[in-house]
Amino acid sequence: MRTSELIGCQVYDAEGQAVGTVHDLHFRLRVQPDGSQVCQLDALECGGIGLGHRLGYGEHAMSGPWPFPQLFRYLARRSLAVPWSQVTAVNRPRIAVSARRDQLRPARRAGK
Amino acid sequence: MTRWDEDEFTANDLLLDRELIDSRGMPAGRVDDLELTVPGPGEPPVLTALLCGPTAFGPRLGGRLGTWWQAIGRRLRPVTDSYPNRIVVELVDHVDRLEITLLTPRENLDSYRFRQWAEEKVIGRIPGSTK
Repeated sequence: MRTSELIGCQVYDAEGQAVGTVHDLHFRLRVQPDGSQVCQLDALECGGIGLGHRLGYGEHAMSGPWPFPQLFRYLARRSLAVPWSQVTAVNRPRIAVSARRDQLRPARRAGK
Repeated sequence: MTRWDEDEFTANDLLLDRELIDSRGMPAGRVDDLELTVPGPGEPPVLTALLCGPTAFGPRLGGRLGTWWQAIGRRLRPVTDSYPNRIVVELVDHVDRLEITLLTPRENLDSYRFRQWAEEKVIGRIPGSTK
């Protein structure tokens, strides 16, 4: 599997409602029992627009020429994180998840 | 073992489009895509390789332009090379927000061959390019 097969896919929740387009992949480092490290796919970040996230403006620490930070944060405010454990099927360009849209948490940067 | 600056990150934050630096501090390309492998049934995918070159970047572009980009890359690559060019994650030394440092010199990487060919056959022939 490649990231290009996931980024850009439309995510649909358990009720068939559109959650958004995958614009980024969230990874977490895990230490294996043998001491080795693996970089595990933890969640898909999706929302209506990925440009703000892509440029780093989803983070509140990001500064920049007015009005770009405010504008991109506004556009990225509805981005949601879909845990990989809730993904039930990946058939590009469609990803199905077992949770409802209102059960998904906001993408990691929101509120920071 | 690879040293990561952060325990949690996103592909766009630390990996995609980052400059690759070889063990001697020379640029060795750029990360165009990532290879994920599912280790077992029900387990989440893990990062196994960084992908470089036009054959990796084409699918990321998507659409007709991406297909063309990939086709050009496929025709220009040496016939012995696999595509896309893979750099297994075990060859990665350090990952930070600016660059990814590798444990091997760039001459050992498939992704460097096209760059080297372009430097020798095209750029090297431009007057003043060696200064």
